[in-house]
Amino acid sequence: MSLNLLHKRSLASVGLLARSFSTLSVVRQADENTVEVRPLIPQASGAPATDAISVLRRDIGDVSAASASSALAPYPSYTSIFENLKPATRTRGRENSDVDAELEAKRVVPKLNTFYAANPEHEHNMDGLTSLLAKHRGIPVDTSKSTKEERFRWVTMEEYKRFGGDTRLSPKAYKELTKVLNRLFQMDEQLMPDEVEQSLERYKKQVSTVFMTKGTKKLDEFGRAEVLGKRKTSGAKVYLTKGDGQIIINGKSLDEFTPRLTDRAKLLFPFRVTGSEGEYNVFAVVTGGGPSGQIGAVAHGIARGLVVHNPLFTQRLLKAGVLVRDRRRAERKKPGKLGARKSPTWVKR
Amino acid sequence: MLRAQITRNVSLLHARAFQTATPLSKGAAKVVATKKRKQTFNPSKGKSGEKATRAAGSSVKGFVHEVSFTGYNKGAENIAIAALGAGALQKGTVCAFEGATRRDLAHFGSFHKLQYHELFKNPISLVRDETLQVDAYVQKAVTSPSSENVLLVSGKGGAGKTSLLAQAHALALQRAAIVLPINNADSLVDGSNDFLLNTETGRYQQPMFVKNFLHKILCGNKAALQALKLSQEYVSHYKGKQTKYDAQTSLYDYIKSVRTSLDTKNNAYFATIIAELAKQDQFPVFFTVDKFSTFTHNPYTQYRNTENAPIHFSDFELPALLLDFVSGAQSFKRGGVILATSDVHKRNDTFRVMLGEMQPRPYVSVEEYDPTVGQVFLQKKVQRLAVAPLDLAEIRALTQTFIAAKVIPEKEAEKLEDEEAFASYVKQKYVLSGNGNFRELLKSVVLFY
Repeated sequence: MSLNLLHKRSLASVGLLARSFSTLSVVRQADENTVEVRPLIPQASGAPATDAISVLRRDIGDVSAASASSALAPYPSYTSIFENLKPATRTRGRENSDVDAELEAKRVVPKLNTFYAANPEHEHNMDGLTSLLAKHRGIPVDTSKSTKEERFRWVTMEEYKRFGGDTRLSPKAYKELTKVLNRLFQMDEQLMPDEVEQSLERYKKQVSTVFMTKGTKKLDEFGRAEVLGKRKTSGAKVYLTKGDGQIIINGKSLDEFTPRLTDRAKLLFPFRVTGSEGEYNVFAVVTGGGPSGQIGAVAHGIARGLVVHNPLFTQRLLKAGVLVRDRRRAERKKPGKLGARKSPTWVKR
Repeated sequence: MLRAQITRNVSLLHARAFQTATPLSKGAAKVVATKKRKQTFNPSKGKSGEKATRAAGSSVKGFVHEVSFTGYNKGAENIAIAALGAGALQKGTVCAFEGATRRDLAHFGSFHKLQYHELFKNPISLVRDETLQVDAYVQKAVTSPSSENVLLVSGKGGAGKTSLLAQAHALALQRAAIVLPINNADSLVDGSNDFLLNTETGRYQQPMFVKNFLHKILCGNKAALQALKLSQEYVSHYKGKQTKYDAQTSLYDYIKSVRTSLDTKNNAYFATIIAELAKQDQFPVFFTVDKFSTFTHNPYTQYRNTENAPIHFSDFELPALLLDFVSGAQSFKRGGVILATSDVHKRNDTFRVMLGEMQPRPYVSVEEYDPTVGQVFLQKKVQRLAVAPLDLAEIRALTQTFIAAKVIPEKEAEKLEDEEAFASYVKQKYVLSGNGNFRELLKSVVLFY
């Protein structure tokens, strides 16, 4: 039965469905807005050939004849699996002769096998990557490989949205992707298969060398580590150099800068953590905030400066909690309260 | 008419009664007198004048005074430390003020509150480069006039200027010198003492301050003052009583006698005492002034004259005397003048000219530059001594003494038995003390547990 006898509504529904299906092959472009397509339905022996139908271009998207069936390369499409199969395989339990070609023509098959997932495109990508991982799980891993050294980065979440499900993509899903990508990337360089390399290319973005070198700090020509430290609203520019333990902040010695022993102990703490008291000289210029904020900013700067001098101190300082910028700020006042938390005196009546 | 007559008769009757009344006997009068209660504001007594009973452990004085001057040091650990001795000083060692030296220095007020002397049996002192320089200065000064031996000690707050003055007192006393200590020149200008105008000299006298000052001199220089005799006869007048002092009278007795007469108008007792000390060459005399920078901080005192105008410090007898000795206008035949600055006073032009850091700027106000002081130091050759912060070796020596005296708790001291831990501890204290500030080091040891 000719598909031209299909109801207009059916045509429209076929057209809408055709946008996401690769089971159609473009026969010819009828005019600017219309193309004739033929569903790629496996032909039963003796069944009449399916006629082409005209659908609006907007219903199937702006696809050309050449690319219509290659929208989702390089993975094998669902249809290619069933291209050579008899209708009986698809219509389980029915006799070949009972297959209704018209019904088969109407049958729409999703182009992604993950169609029923929350984010089909992302799940499809993950399927491909995890199948590669499973396939090549025996290949040794080199954990020292870093994307920074290779001068590239993985696609950001915004970039991945273009082919990862758009608004359906969640941060968790993106995290899963990067985890798998990193795992695949860590395969030994010489043993990495081409298909893995090619699959990873899609997710790589080159990074400029200028950006890459900015992250790592080094000592300057005078052997100083120039770092910034922050705490609350204070900011400190700290110069740390090898010396005998002199500390000058805003042109004053430590006892002049702060009369409080507890504040001086806070400054000393990064040195105590690394066992390097009296081995470094500190020159700091700190602005903003109050006394304790300024002391915290200088201490933060000292910790970062110690890492520049000796990166091996990083773990110790992180565990001690001095390397991380203290994000605590003054809590805002709320309506109905006298301050951030304090309530007015409760009155019984 | 009748009422007026009655009233007049009643009043006449009362008058007659008083006229015929016999006076009370002496015994009765005495009884009446003892019953009269005398009001007193003495905090150690009750309102009625009886001695108040206080709970055990309480005191009328404040905590700082109590902890410094009520003998807490008697319970301190006994440690073996050498006494500070003139001519036998070893740099980097910790010494103690002991015996007669300690007693005399206590009279002088050389041991201040909040110096934590109560932590030790005897007050300790570290021998530093500056101590050796002061020792050399004293050694030279005992054989030359004081006009040639003016020493100005400066440094940051807590560096050890007052401690250095205490060492100078000890070194001078051990060389049989007479010490005239002024421990706080601020009290001369801050209005805390009374003042009287001497119309003959045109200067103001401060009887209360001078009385206490003479008491310190008497107690700390007893032997030397008793050995000195007056060079001429003096007569004192006090409350209508005349006292004569002949040439056989010791200076000690003279000072002791006239000390209570200083509030006499237009008296010259203090000037006489200084003149007697200046005339003799039996004992060298050292004038020491702590917080001398009070005169550069503000040239005008808190006192006001009868026209309600502030009075310049040079219009006072004692500060003017100090300035005379610094400039050399007056001089002891043997001895010196030791001045110490204070960090509480501002570093204006006068202060910096005094330290020799700059030349005076014209057209600045007198609060910024006072030529009364500035010119003295510009024209006078003054020996300047800047007290440097402690270095690691000195902090190490002090820390060992603190451990021996159990100032550092035993639990902490046990961890420092290892040499590496001890070296790390010393470096920590070096940083905590602001890179070697003596006062902050003491605080970091005493107050940080």
